[in-house]
Amino acid sequence: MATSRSSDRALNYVAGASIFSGRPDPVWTVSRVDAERLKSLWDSMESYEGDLPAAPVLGYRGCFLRESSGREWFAFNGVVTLKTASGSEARKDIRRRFEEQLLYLAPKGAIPPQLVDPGRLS
Amino acid sequence: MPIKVTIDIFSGIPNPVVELSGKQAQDLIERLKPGNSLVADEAEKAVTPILGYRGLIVEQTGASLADKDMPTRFRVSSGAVVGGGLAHRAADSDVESYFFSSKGPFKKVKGAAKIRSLIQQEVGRSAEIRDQIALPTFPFPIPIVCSCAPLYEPSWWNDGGQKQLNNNCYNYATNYRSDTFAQPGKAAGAMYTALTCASVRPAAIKDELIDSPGANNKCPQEGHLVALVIAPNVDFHWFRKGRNGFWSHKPGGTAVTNVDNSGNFISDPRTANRGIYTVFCTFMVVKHGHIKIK
Repeated sequence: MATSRSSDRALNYVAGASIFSGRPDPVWTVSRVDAERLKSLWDSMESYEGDLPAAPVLGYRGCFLRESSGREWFAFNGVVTLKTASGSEARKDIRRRFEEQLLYLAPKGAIPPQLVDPGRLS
Repeated sequence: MPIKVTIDIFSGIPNPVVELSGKQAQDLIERLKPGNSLVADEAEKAVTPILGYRGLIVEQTGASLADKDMPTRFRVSSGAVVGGGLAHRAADSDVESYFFSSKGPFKKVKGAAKIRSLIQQEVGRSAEIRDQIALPTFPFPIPIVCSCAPLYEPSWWNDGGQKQLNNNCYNYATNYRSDTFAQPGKAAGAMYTALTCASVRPAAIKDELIDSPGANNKCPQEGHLVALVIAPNVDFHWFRKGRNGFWSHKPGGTAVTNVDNSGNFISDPRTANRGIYTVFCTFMVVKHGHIKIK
């Protein structure tokens, strides 16, 4: 799904991870440059048709990148799903590169390394 | 003899509604009349809440009913008609395809053309999901072990919007909707300062929860039992004991559930698979109306 890069200049990006139960989950802003890199990665991914990976009830359950246009990418365990107003599409996140790069952008200390160590995802 | 049909599909925004009368209402009712009885767990699967298309809710709203032999309110899902004493296949088992077709009643919904294909996809997807639902079985008969405990009503919390996203495990365990993602001790001005049992436990006590470390998974005479567990220096988590003696919980902004990380019902939170919440801190009692959380 290629995007119009000129229109993307007005967009803002927020990312977050679904981890905690009692505390609020971490949320952070993502620069347009980093968002473009992630979107390029998305553009290069193969389509995925299978069941979405099941997340644990308690613990790390995935991370997301939300565009101010309303589009949202959700990454967990080798699959990235893009949700838009018209539906959703899943793609293979080989070696969890998208998920790993998104988590690397979190501020230091926001994500407990013992729960999600981005360097160990792949 | 008007009927109201609610397309039960959304979580956050209001569902679309179609009002039908006269011949249109009669035609739809005819298609919905009971055919063969549902078998095994088909009826329960038809009403199991899922995200996305969940069916049509049909209500006969007029003083004179469109059909007095049909219930005043029932649900249609994947060709099944359930509610008001019905658990049957619809006479027209493809009634939902008709409903959402370009000639069906759905055309009366504002903006129908824009969302028709999405809903048609959802109808198919929903049927597949319902086929695959594995219904957990509780021991039967279900004994009422804790008569004062709150009802297990996940669908009330799991709205995918305001209630679900802004209420966490502490809200759910205390059965207190604050819409603030409540933190132990915050309402009393004594919020925890560390993510340890030694810090979170007294903070909850300040909120008027009653520490009951010796409760040993037994229901109190008054109020209901909750349990505090800790992921050391990472997070806290709460469970609550229900009327049937089993426990349920709400992990953060996600949906309420009654299973642990292994997918098992929770008879005792001390022995459940709790993932990262490795420290069992204590049992506490919530006396209804006594606590205040924020």
